[in-house]
Amino acid sequence: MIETFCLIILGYLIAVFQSSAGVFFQVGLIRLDAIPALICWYSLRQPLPLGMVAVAVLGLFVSVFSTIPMYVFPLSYVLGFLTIRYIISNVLELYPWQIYLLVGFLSLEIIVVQLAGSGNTELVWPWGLFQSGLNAISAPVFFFFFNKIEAILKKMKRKKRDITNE
Amino acid sequence: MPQKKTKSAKKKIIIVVCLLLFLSVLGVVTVRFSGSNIALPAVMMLKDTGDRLQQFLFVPLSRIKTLWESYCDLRETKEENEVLKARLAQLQSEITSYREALIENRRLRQLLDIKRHQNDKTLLAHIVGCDIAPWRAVVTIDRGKKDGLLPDMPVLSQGGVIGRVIETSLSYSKVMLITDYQSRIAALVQRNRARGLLVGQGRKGCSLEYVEKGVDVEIGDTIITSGMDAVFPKGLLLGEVVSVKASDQSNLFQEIKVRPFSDVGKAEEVLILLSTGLSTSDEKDSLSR
Repeated sequence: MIETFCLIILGYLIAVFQSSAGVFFQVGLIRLDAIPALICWYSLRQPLPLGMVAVAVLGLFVSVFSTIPMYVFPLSYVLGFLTIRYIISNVLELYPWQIYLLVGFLSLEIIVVQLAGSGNTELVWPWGLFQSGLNAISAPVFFFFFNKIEAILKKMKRKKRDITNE
Repeated sequence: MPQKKTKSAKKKIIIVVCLLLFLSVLGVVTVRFSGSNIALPAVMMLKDTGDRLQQFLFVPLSRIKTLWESYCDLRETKEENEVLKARLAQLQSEITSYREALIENRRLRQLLDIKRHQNDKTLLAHIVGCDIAPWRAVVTIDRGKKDGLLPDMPVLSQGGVIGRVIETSLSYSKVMLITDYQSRIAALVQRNRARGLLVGQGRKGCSLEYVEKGVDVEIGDTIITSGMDAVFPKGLLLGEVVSVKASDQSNLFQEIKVRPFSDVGKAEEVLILLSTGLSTSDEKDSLSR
């Protein structure tokens, strides 16, 4: 449940930040994007069906900050989530570099769906690929932050439980 | 113990079913009302909250950006004169604030000038955010339905047309800039009245399409709105032709690149035309000049 909480609250805050400060981190048509990394991080932890619903809810929240049709964000995030769940169900263990590669792949999938949904498929090359590359490269930093936040929340929860037990 | 487990499992199932139901209802309602101009109060509230948060972050971040730029300026001077560094820093910050005020003053004067020449009712708005998708040239402005804004209202900046309103919530609106890939504006070449369609090309600016090969279009020609799209009044400034290519034989039309007059990437304030009655006279051409 902590992961779900992290996903929705963090995802919304990231969307607010990116839509207000996004242009400062933009080069051409690419910019720093933490949401694909967050979805990948969450997908590796949370199985169906709650995971899928949570990702769809995040998509609805994020779509508020865009003029792309409302269904596109939930659809792209759910597809990304399902892909990651499928991949990890067929893999015994993922090395960190493979996880970051997965972020790149997931980003590409999300971007393709979003570009198709907004009628700009011609931008997949080169901007879509560059954006997924950037997302994969920046993923270790974002994963570090998400893990830290998760650890803090777990610690808080443990403390609360200890107090209740006492 | 097993009873407890069953209870919690039931609870989870109920939560998931409720969420699915909520999403389905939301989906159905969205599809039902898409296309019509009816906005759901919950969606509108959500958009308003998001935009408010955007504005809350955008203003301090812009200040930080200005400060950062001042710092960069200062660093260059520092190498030249180490002794005057402290004094220069003080002066620089003062100059930055004066310059900021001067630039703002100039911008507002230009907007006021457009407003004076425009017969229609106008409204000033500030840009407070951008679209989360980097390929969309869409900005959020701090005016909404309560200020009388409606979709398809033209938006101007110092140079001329900058875009049009595409979505409104109670206090905020989204403006599609003329460089957006989805943007299409009916335009004409001011010199010879040749008609075309101004299409957004993202960071490359715009292009004037569907102008036949025989038509005389030159570099430096001014492009204005033709009023044929029933969105923009006739005669508003759009941009300047920067390149003309006849393209290959299979293509019937010329390839014309247009640089918008409005500084799309740097605009901070915009003017919205509230009444968009289409003019048939050419008077507005000269007035908007």
